[in-house]
Amino acid sequence: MWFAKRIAMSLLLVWMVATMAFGAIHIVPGDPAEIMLSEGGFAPDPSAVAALREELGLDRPLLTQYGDWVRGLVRGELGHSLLDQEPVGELIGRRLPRTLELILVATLFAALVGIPLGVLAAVRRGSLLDRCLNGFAALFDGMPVFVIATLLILVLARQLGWVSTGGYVPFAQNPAEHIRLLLMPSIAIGLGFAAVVLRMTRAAVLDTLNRDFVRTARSKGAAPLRILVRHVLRNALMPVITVVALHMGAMLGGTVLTEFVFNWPGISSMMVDAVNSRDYPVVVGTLFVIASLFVALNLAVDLLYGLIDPRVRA
Amino acid sequence: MHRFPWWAAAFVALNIAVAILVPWLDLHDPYAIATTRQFEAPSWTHPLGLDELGRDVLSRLLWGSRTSLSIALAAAAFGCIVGVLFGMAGGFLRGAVETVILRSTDALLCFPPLLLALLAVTLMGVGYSTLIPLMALVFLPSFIRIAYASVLSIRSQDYVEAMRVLGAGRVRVLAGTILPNIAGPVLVQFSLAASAAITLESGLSFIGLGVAPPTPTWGGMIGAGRGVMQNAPLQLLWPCLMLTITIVSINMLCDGLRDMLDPQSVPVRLTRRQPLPAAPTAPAMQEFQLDGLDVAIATPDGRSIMPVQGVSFAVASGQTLALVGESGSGKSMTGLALTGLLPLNAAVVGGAAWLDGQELLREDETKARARRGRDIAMIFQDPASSLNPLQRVGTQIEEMLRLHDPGDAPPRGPRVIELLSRVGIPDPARRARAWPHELSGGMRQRVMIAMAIANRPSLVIADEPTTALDVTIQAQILELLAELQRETGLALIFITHNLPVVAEMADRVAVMYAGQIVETGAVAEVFADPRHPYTRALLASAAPPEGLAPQGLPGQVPAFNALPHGCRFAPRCGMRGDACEAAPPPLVDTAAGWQSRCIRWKELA
Repeated sequence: MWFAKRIAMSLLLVWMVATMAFGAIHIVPGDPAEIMLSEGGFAPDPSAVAALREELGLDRPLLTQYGDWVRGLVRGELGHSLLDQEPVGELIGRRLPRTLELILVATLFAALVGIPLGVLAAVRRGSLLDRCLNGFAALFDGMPVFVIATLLILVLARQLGWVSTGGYVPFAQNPAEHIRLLLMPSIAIGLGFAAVVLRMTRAAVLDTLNRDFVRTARSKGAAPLRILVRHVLRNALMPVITVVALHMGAMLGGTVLTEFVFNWPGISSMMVDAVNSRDYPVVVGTLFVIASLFVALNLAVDLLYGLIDPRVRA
Repeated sequence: MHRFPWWAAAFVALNIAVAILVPWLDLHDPYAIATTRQFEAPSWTHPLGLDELGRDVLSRLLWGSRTSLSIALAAAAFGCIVGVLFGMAGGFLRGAVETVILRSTDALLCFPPLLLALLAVTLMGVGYSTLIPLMALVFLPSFIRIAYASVLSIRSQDYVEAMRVLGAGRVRVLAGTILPNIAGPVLVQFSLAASAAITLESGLSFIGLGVAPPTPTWGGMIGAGRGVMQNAPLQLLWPCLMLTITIVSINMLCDGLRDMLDPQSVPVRLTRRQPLPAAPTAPAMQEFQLDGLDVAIATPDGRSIMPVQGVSFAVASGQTLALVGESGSGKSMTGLALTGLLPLNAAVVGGAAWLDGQELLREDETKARARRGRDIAMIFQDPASSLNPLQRVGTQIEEMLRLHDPGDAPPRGPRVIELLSRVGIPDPARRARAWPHELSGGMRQRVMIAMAIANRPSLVIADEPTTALDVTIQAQILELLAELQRETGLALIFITHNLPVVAEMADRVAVMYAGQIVETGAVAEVFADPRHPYTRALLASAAPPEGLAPQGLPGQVPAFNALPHGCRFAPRCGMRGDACEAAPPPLVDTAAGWQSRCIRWKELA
């Protein structure tokens, strides 16, 4: 029941997202077709604008357009690129896995670095180590990702020459090179992410350490390490998982700058290209897919909660 | 540890001042191109050198402040005002307005800000007029949520209702009560939005979709510096540094503001300065004996107070001692000290305790840990929070057995079920697999008791074990404890403020006031003829004679950092005389095994 309700809520949200993506083109002032064709402040040719309006269906009644858009989505059609008429769905299908790969490796890095260090900082709270970790976390949390990425390239690639400055090779073509190229952008994203995870873990562990059941465990004669592993971590992990998942969702669109810096041909860089060439269907379609993924991710987190915490299922 | 980050505040203030004053700072023209002087090294006239077009780097950096901060503050302010208005509208109007606002907020949050920005740039072109409304839109949801939540929590409160009954209009209610209440969180959110706006704007400018060149921006400078990083790495470093420090200091400022609005005192760790003096030789033994326990707590201002002072008592096996007093009297602290479970900011600083002839307070942690749960067990007040919510109750009982497994113990699974059945839980085999939240309060406390008696301890400390339970359940739990005690002969220390329970459960009673025992003796004798005015007042307020109002105690328990010089109870005592305030009264024997800390106890008889 709880499960079905959550899924219904998510579908509703996806529909709202679709409506907003559709609405975006209609609520902004000015004629989108005209803006798409404008180059360097020159007014575009009126006949070209009219042709584009027709192609995009902008000349038809609003409700008809909306109906077509939603019907298309239900059938899994997102329209065609204005540049080469390729279906937007196929474009996304090709680019999205590369971005997801980046996000997964970054998340792995962030969890592997952030959670243990966060636990360490909480256990040694107030110590020099804790203060240093907090300082680093504040720094990497604040530093914009493109600054981290640029500095990584400056130091590791240009000054030390350890790694190449970026690019992409398909895994099937050269697995080792693929992984080598994957690491730098993943770490660039992962550093800031790890900082967030570290702070969240530290706060959650400190909070859990003060709970009554931890005192019970101590009164049973359990050793500190056992208390940490058996009683604190699982309870403390709940808020951390939320943050990780929300952050993963935010990263779906947040890899734009990293992909740009490292020449990683993911979905975000496709979006930047589409923006630059004013390829409206690609922009809106991508936006819709990413937002829907975000909704799906939130749903997955809720279901995961149900697995970890028996109270949620009740 | 939580000090306000003044350096961050100073940097932000300086940054804002520079952003405002930059036109009058007598800097070089940030747009003046001198192609012949590309990458000129730093000099007196150009402290940070020249960039790839021969423009003054320092000047562009400071003008960049103006660009970034003006966009960030405008967007944050815009989002803040509109968001707070929407949030308040949603909270006050309810109904359809509320639903539409909240659901659109949820949907809006599904779009990553950067992608939304890209969409906006596609539709509206590059520039300020795109950036500011767009970022305002991005920050809208957080402001809406703060305002909405606060309206919901406040609108039901009495004083708002009262104002409306008094005829205050909606607008006045909003302005007068809601706005001051949300000012704090909104301010924090405003700073967060400003810092996020700077990140977003510089990111967009970095890829050329934010503020268009040649306007100086930090993001744009980094983007340009990227192309020439081989020749001029410093071109890249200055704007990176400026951007990072700005964002980190705004974030620090946020944390500082949040701590100021919601101060959480950080406990000061108390390390015992000197080791306890060697324990006196064990006295003629009862099962458990405590002698002169002192506990100190470090206060945040660096001093220490003594919430438990000179507490002594003894419990024979099979007997129950009730430790009675108001909250803050030191009774719970005493229990925690005996088990070595004092919080980090507290420590035992004097006294000795013997259980079965073994001294407890000087034991090292390993020995004390082995003893906890085996020889001494505790039952806590709130069984709901004292059980781990993510472990089945059987597992939690089994852990108690596992931790002290002597090796030749019977298999643990059947023993867990046996224990559950012993504490009166029906269908124990099934209940062992239950989660704590599936059990009632009384059942949970039975589980706690099963856990406590699992290893047949010789001493059980029960800290208000029935306070959190329904009155009908209380009697059952007390009956269970008494029964188990008769059966196993354990010594029980029963901490409570409930005097009728004491009369029913305990053999002896120790009454605590402001960290000291003020009277101790056999329950029947003490309750029939109290020999301390505090005991008498407690009894009077607990069991008022028919037709009479309970005789309330005037005044309050004194604070531990402002204890009276003489008798600690004197300020509230109807019988105090000059002698009472002159010197701290000792605990005197009034009869065999019956002591009082009142110098005028004879007058009470």
